[in-house]
Amino acid sequence: MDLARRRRRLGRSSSDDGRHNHWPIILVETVRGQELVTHACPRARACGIMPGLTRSHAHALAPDASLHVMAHEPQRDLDALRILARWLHRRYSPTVAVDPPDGLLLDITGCGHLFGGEHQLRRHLLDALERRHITAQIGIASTFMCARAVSRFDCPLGHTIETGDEHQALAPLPIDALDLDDDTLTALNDVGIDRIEHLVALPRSELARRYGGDVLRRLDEATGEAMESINAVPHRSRATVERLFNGGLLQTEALQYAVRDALTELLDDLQRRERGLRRLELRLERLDLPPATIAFDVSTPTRDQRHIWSLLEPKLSDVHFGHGIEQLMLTASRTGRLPHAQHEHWRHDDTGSQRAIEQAQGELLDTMIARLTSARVLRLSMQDAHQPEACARMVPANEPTPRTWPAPVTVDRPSRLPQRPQAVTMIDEDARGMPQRWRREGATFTATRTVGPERIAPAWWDHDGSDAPSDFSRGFGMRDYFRVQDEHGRWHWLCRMREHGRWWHHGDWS
Amino acid sequence: MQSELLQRLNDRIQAIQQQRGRSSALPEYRHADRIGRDETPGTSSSSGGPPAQVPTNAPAHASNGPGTGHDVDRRLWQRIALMPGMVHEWFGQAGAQDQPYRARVLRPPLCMMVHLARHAVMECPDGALVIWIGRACWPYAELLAPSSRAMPIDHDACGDQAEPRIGARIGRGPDLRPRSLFIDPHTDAERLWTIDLAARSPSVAAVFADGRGFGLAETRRLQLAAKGSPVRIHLARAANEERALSASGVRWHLAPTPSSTSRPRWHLTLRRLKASATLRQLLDREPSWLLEWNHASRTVAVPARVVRGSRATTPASRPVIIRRRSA
Repeated sequence: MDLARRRRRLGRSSSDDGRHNHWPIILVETVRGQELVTHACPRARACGIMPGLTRSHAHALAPDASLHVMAHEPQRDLDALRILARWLHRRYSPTVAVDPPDGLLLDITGCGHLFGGEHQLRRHLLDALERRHITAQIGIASTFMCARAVSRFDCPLGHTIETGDEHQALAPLPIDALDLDDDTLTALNDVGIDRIEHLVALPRSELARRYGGDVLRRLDEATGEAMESINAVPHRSRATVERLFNGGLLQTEALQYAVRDALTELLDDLQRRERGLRRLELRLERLDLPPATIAFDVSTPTRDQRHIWSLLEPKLSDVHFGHGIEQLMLTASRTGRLPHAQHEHWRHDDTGSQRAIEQAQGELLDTMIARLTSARVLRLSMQDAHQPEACARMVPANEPTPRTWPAPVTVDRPSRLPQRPQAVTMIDEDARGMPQRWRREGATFTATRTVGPERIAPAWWDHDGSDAPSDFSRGFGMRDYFRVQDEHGRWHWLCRMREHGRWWHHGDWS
Repeated sequence: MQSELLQRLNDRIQAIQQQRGRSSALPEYRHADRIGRDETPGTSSSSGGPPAQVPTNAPAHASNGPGTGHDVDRRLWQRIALMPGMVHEWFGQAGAQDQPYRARVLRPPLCMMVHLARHAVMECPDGALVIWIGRACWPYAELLAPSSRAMPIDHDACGDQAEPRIGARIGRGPDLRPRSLFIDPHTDAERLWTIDLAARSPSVAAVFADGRGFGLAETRRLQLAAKGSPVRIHLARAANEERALSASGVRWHLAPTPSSTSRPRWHLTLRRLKASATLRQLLDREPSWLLEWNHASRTVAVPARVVRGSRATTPASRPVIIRRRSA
């Protein structure tokens, strides 16, 4: 699954023009300092690359040593599996469970006839998955364990097992099909029990005593002699509230009242689900006009009606009513987890206040963004660069913050870095090339103390060497920085471009 | 004579602190009920005289003896500057060479602001934001990084409830980068609205804003927003606005001064303090401090040499309390 997702992403990226799309893909995980293959795509398997090999071994086996190697991320796999389970839940079956690491269990009792039979359902599902670039094997049986086994291992009876044929279908399969833990599997393999038929042939009392009740339970579940239970993904629908008006609505007050009322209902619904609003959409159906849509995001999940209303109200007053509004539909199109307030009383006090702070922070951000737009409410994003002007960038504040930040520089840096460095006319330099007197914007400065130079050079891999950049706007040349104090005690950060010796003012301490 | 006075001043501050026991000195400042007791807006700047005189006046009064009681005095400015419930206005100095191009232009005291942001964040719960409003007031991002050396922890300045964060203890100041929010308002109205909004939010530790062009009405609105709020509001004002009317509680004047080391230095003068009578009595008319930027800790402090009380080479490099009018 994950493989498929990655391959799709590779196919989309323009950097390799799809040239390397046919390369095998492997996922590696570092175990005790060794990079081991955890998953290999069918192409890789065809080359003989199997999970458990080292990365270098896999490279040696691949044709022309060309492989896509990626890190194995089990949590993302699981998340993707859950999303797929939700989708299957909407499309195919009311009961879907996740079977980590790569399985899904569907209870299709009574669902087959909607697709024209179980066989058609299976075909339909396979096609749908294939369109999403997901390779899947589907087994159908009267018990989950049996279906699981026949989907993963080749069964002489095919992938669809009729009720009553479980024993016959399972008999030739290896005992791996029973989802036993590794220790039990090894113990059974040690005494030569490889197939389920061997297991069935053993006396049940012996089996339970030697290998634990788990083996028998799994066996019974597979053959339908014991009850199975699965942990189905919960049913979750979008929180939506609708209001229909008798005739077109024309008064602003009436609309505000109706929206407020709908919002209360929506938030009550979210409260029952322990969700907080992240994105709200309001759709207004108008007479003789296309529907008007109002949508906005909030930065932290919230159920605070006052806050949401304060964001919604100014937008509502801009709506053109046309010949009247017939219907309004309020949807929480994105939500986030927001535990009930009561839960917090049992936690430590600090986390409660912490959450209150986050909530207040979110409200502050939303209110600012609503008035100033997100392009003017910014956060820092640091790059690991040597250029003073390139190491910090501003990004909209509602984008996620990075977890780690580059280490601070230890040398002195100015407190203000102008957006554009100013050209400086150097009147006088001393014998060592230190600035003595300079002129900037019509004023003349005299150096009383100078510290430097600090040389900041471009990274060699960025510099093509063809065209020496002549000013700041065009790339980055080698520069010598000086901290200079003028006669009034102000400190300036002057720099000289190495290529042509011109001077720039690139910051000061104020 | 002067050193005796300084000693008495420091003793009184210590005595008041002991009287209050564990409660910090901050609540006293917070309930500043007698606003405008001895100063009316607008007159304070005229009584200050030209700012250029501050360093030149300093040596005449700076005859304090070595090593006595400087500890309280050298951090008094910080305690006042971290007072919540007040709007702090910061004025730079327009030098003669600035006239043709810089007189109208703002020169926000960014080193000082970073220092105050660091201390404000340490007092506030985790996640409280520092907000920089106005492009001119955005400091260079490197200054917001955690300091490579420990910040001088000052319990007095932080208040008692402010347990220094673990990071500060093991040798790193707080990282302001994830907690900084940069706002770029286009109009004066937007700027005022943003400062006001931020000042009322419980998730904000401090607001540093471009205060250019604010008059009495604007500063009064901000002062009202600040009153009773834990958020510290610092406005950077242009040097030529020192005569403008304003309702702010505290006014500072920061003038760069030639330094004998390779670190930038300033003379900080407290031009206005609408505080309680107790505090007002403790202070001279316009107390002044010599401060130095320390990049390693990314803070501002009275230069170490002066604190230790050894004889400084330049006469200006001493903490001085200047009396403008004979009492």
